[in-house]
Amino acid sequence: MSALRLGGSYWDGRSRALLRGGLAVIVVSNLLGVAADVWQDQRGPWSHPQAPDWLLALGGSPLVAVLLALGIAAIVQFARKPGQLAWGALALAAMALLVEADGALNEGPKRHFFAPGLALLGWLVGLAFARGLTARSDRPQAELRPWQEAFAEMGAVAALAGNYCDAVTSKMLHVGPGWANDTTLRAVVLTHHPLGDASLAGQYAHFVAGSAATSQVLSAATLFVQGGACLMLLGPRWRLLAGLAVFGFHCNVELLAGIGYGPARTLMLLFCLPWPLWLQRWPRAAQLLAPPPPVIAVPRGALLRTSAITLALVLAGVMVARALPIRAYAAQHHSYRGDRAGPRP
Amino acid sequence: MAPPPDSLPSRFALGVLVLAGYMALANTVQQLYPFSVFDMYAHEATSASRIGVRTATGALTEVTAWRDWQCPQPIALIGPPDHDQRAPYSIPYRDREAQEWIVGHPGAGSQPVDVVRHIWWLQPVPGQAETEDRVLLHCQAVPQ
Repeated sequence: MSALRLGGSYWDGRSRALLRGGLAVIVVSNLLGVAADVWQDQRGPWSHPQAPDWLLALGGSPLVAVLLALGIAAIVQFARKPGQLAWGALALAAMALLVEADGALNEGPKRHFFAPGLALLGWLVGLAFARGLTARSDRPQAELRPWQEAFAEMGAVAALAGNYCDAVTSKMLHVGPGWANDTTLRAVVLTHHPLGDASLAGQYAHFVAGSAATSQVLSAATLFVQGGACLMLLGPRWRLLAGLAVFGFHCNVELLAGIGYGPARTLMLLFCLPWPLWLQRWPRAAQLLAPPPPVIAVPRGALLRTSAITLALVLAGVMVARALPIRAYAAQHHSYRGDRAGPRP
Repeated sequence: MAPPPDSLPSRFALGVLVLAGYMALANTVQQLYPFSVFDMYAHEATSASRIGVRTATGALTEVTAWRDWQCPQPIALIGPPDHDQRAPYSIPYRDREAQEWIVGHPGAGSQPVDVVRHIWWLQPVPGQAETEDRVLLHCQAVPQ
């Protein structure tokens, strides 16, 4: 297998039912986590000053259980068979409401809830794109759906990569390459790692916080790993390499600063490791990779047309988003809201 | 098993479109689930600070290592943003967690402790110490 197989995957020629099921399990776990947070949250002086009442009213409301049940039911339907665009969108909408409510009730959204949402969004965009490619096909849609999941997989991987490319772009826009200096990472470690931690992790964090050179090397590595996430599009081996680098980056951040990003790490393992190559060694496990999807050629005209429509939709989305006060709302997420004295309920 | 060759360029095109589209939309909205620019740690920092407890013996510990807090009221450890260039870098939610711990665990403390903002100056100016304690409260508390 060539290392460079643009757009290729270890799942090629195999059913992606396990991949879809794995994504659904991670989404369920995410839904449970954010629902638990919103259930315990109450509107307070720390809440977003411009958040709509209906969003803040979700805190501690029975509607949280309704959204959770809706989200889980939808993602189960999504996982049951390929091509369930509407069920996936419903699960994503339920998760989005819960995460936005959590962010409005607190001081902004918790970013560790984002990776499953953007992977699901990417999956759905991939499905829609593949449907566009085969819109004029004579074959019935049910027959095309297993093939369309190759695009769903690529959409999810690209969205995950976009997340890390955004992180490195933000660093470049705010500071530039000088972000990889000898102080910024040390500051992050010192502000997060528990004081007086004598464990091995504590000793490691203490060493990094005290070593300007190590901090600089790790900061530079962060930029390369986050920027290198785009290599995941190049083919299965590049995806494996870039995915493991991102996974290692998250593990290191957890050791140093206790910031875990479990869902993102799990998604990296799900989408980047060569699971099909491992599973096919055992006949019973190999059955899970069957039946293979059909082989369908994509006419060049269909690709150009669908790509143009996708690009137009993205541009329209950007224009609509610019016209709405979303950016101003987001800027208030971390604004100072008084001393916020008093325990939370 | 070989992949269907004709779909690979299409999939790669989709990947580029999704990656670029996600970045364009995220940079437009900044934060709207599931879009984010993930700029939490994008700013440069030359200092660090934490709310902690300085004990009578001089040890610096987490506030969560103490309970039964008895402090002068009101307990307000977090002030408005200080735009002074030498204001220390801090993580607001960590500060709030420390404050909420103290407020949420009241009692009749027996040991005198100082609640401090401990600062590490990672690029100290000449004559400035590398670390500094700013005392926020004198309290009584009990170790966990």
